[in-house]
Amino acid sequence: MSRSISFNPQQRLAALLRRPGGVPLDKAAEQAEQRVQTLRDRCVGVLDAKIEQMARMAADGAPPARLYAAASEIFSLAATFDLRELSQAASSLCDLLAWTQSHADPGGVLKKSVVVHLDALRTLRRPELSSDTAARAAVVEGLRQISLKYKSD
Amino acid sequence: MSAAGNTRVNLEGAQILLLEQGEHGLEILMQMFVGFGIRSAHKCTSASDALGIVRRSTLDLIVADPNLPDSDGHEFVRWLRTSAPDANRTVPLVLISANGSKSAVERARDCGASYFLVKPVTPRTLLDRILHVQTDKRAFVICDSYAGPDRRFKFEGPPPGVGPRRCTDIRTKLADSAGPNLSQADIDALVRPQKVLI
Repeated sequence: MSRSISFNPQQRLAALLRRPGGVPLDKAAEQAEQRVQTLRDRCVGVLDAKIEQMARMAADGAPPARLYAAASEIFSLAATFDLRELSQAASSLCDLLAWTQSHADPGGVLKKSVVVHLDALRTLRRPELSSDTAARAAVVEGLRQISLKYKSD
Repeated sequence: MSAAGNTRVNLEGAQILLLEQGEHGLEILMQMFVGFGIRSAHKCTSASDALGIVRRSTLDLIVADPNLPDSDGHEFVRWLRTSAPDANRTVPLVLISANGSKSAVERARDCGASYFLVKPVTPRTLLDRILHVQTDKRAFVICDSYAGPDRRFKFEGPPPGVGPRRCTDIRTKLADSAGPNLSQADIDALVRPQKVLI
């Protein structure tokens, strides 16, 4: 049996939190949410550039880990600002890329699936689709069918 | 893990490290913490920058996304738990990731993270984890294969059919319950003797 050591460290953060003063929890959460929303225009504005950057990386044969990091960033921004279909599409792409990191792709099928996902992300960003809920849902459902085959667990 | 809304949070003066690959994601985290009341934080977009901060500064909290483009954030956490300066080795660390799969959670747990959250993270959820540090009774464990907070949030004894392994484990086989459990009032009465008029 291996040996182990266990101890209870003093957490400076716990001591800081126990000091008097501070902000009520609900108010702190509300302030934080308001501050995050001030970034909305800036963050949503860069999504198109990030999607194109990722498309270039994919075309250049970037490794799945780098593509995953890029897709994860797109997902994080879309999800934070409630761009529902875009975040679902990016999440589907993340699932696909997570799968490619542990599985071979001799026929290039997964690579084509990545391209399909990137095209879907561009489509969802088109202004003419912004109010067409049914079309947006159809795009996401199509991607879901693709990624179901590749979900890790 | 949710704290009551009238609980107060005082993070003023806390030394916080934020590690996130994208500048926008980093700024989102930063604005959350400014909303919580901090004045400044160390912001890094790479594990190597984060390593430098950990070596130079005494930190109170780290919030990190393990999905970094040029390195593995889990390796940063392992380095923190095994090789960082003593002042920072046991610092609470929250990993946040877009990947919420079982394997991602296990990987985060097994690299030594204190908590794991799936994106998108709301300010309230992040605050609840931070506040949990005050009541977290988990020991810090170091063994051949792991260094970090005890990976068990609760201990329910050995699995059925397995004998006790620790000196604190109950060694006598407990009988099955013969009746309903005592109410809290009954238990209190047993513990606190009452005057009885005879």
